[in-house]
Amino acid sequence: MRAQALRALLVVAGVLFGLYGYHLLRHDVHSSVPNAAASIVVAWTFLFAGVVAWARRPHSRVGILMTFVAYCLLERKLQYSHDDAVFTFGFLFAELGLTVAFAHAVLAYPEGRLRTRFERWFIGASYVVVIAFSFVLLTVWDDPPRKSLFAIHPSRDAYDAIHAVYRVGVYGVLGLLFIALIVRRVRGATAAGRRVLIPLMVAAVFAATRAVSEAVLSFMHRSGTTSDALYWWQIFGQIAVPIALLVGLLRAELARGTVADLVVELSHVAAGEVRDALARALHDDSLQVAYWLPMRRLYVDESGRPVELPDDGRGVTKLADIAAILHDPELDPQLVATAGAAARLALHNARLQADVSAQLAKVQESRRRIVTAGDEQRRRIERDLHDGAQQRLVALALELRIAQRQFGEESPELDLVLANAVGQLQVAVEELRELARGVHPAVLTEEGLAGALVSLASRTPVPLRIDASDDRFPGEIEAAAYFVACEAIANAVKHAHATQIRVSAQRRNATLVIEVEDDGIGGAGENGSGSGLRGLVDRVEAHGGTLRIESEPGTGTRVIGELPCAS
Amino acid sequence: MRVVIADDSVLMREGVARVLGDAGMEIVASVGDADGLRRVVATEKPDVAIVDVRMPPTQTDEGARAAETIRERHPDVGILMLSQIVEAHTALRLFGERPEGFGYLLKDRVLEIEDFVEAVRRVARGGTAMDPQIVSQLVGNRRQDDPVDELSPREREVLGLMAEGRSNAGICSKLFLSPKTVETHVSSIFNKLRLAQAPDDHRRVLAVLAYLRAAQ
Repeated sequence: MRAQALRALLVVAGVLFGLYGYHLLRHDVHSSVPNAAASIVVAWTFLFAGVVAWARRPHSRVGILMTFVAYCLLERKLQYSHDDAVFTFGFLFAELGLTVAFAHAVLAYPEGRLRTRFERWFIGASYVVVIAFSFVLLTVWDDPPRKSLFAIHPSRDAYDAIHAVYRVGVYGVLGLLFIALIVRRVRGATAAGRRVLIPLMVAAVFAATRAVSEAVLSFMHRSGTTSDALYWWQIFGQIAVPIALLVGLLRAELARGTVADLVVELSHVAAGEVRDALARALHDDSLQVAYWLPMRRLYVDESGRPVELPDDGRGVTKLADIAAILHDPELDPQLVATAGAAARLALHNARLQADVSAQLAKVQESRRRIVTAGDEQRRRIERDLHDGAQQRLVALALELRIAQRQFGEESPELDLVLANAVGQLQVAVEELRELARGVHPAVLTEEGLAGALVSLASRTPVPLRIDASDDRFPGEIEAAAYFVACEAIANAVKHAHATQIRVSAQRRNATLVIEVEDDGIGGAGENGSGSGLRGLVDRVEAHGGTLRIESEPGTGTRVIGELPCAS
Repeated sequence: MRVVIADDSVLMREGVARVLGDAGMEIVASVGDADGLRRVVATEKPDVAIVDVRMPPTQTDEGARAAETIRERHPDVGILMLSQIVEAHTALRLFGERPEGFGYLLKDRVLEIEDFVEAVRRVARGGTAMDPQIVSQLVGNRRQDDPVDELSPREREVLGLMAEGRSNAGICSKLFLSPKTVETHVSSIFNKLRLAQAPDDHRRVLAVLAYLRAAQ
């Protein structure tokens, strides 16, 4: 409300100020009616455009800057006053509105902030240079009847010389720099940014080339016609700029209108389509959504993978506690926030989904690690049994056998005892060997799945046909496939009374498919025989695979395990 | 007969050395790892090397790999591999196309001293020693319509002993049969399996193993 009152006051004051300026132009320097009126209309155009922009886009300071330009242009008229103090004040700041304040407003468009350090330096230095020149000119002012309060050494020649330097320096050099900065802005802008920037930039270049030509022409004699043409060029350039600003503003208003239309769609959009819907609403194909997970204090994408918010100039609009929208930096953050608010429910759901995905990925990863660690443990136990206990027992048995040979002939009793001991040890070694094989068959590590299946077949009392690829797969995948085959074969023999078993292990694309088929009674799972297999589901799924059991009573059993093995 | 022993267990090395020494063989070196084995084989040129499959430093298949290089560089040195576990797949790979002067036995076989000494002698002379457990894996696990099914139980026994690498005389003493009977069994087996009679024991093993492997 206070801002509104301030704007109203500024409008009223500006209008009155303009009328006073018109009076000064007509009566004190005898300007023609069209010239005086045009000069005031330029200031008023800036004023009205600035105030409207300020009201419509309070977050952008461009409106304020435009209003500032308007007041500089009005203040300029004070230099035509015959009052010395008013004249001096008017002259000191007269050039701002046509030069640096104007450039400031254009370069700050659309957010109202200068973007680069160089732009800030350029504008800051220009303010100083322009005011400094005016001050120096006032010290040599010698053009009665007006008198400069700062006059030290009145000299018309000095004034002309300094003024020429000013025209070349400020209008020429700073004007060219200004054009270069604008060209760079437009070239570096994104597609959406150009749509917003171009009308204004065209108008600004139009005005700036006028300033540069002013500098160039100061070296030549110019006719009255040239001066006249330059004057109207300047007037139209200056009016075009605030109008271009209004056009840019209206475009943003239009985009806001389509967002309003899309509120209904956005509020009903499915979680999976929320990004596309937002991209469509905001006309930004590069739009991305990062979801905030407060428990883990990080942003993730749709599938739960952590993402870093960019700091490379991409626009980031944060929607409190839910998500951040990464978008074209030229998009108005207000607009993005509005669209985000419309899609709040869908974003909320998408975030929950992303959160669940992230947790699922973590759980899957840890499950895989647990199974792999278990496998590694089993392999180590198997090796320890081989290299430790088994080795010692065989060596010990051999020693006893040698003793038996040496002393057994002398004592039949000793011979019997030692033979018995060796026999016991042989049984123990055989048992240990079976135990180690059950823990983790060495043949699996050494020969791979095909070799391990052949070995398994030789210890299976039912005829077993093996159709296995000789390829090697990652160790944990081979182990999972092997244990699936073991369990399925054990079930076929023990519970299903099979007379034929077929095992196949083949690579299909990036998947190892292990299949065990028997001709038994079927119905696995109903009589409790499938429980061991269901335990293996965990192992298979831990590696991202699937395990299927087809077992209708009377039709035999088919166990199919699929294990991803991208290698 | 000059023998080299390679096993990382000192106890095992001493036991085997003792057994073979008692049988009249000369133990020219006894080492604990694969590098030592390659070195002493190169310097000593023994008739046979007794090699543990798993040896330091990785305890996986150093012995087997050392055996492979020895067979390439010193083809007249017999190699008898000892292992805590024997697998048909591994056996067939180790034997390759050349079962001459090669043996692959379960470590416990040293406890049956006479059979073990006989196997060492056979390998040293260029013969073959295949572990009975592997032979039974190969013979036992057949497809349904396999000609091995047509063999009588006695013939299967003879087939197994042939596959272990035994000569006719060895089979005779093992089964307490006359040489004549054994010969009859052997030719009957070759007929039923539709194999050409091999001129000597070495090639006979090769033929039998090739047959069993092909039918796996």
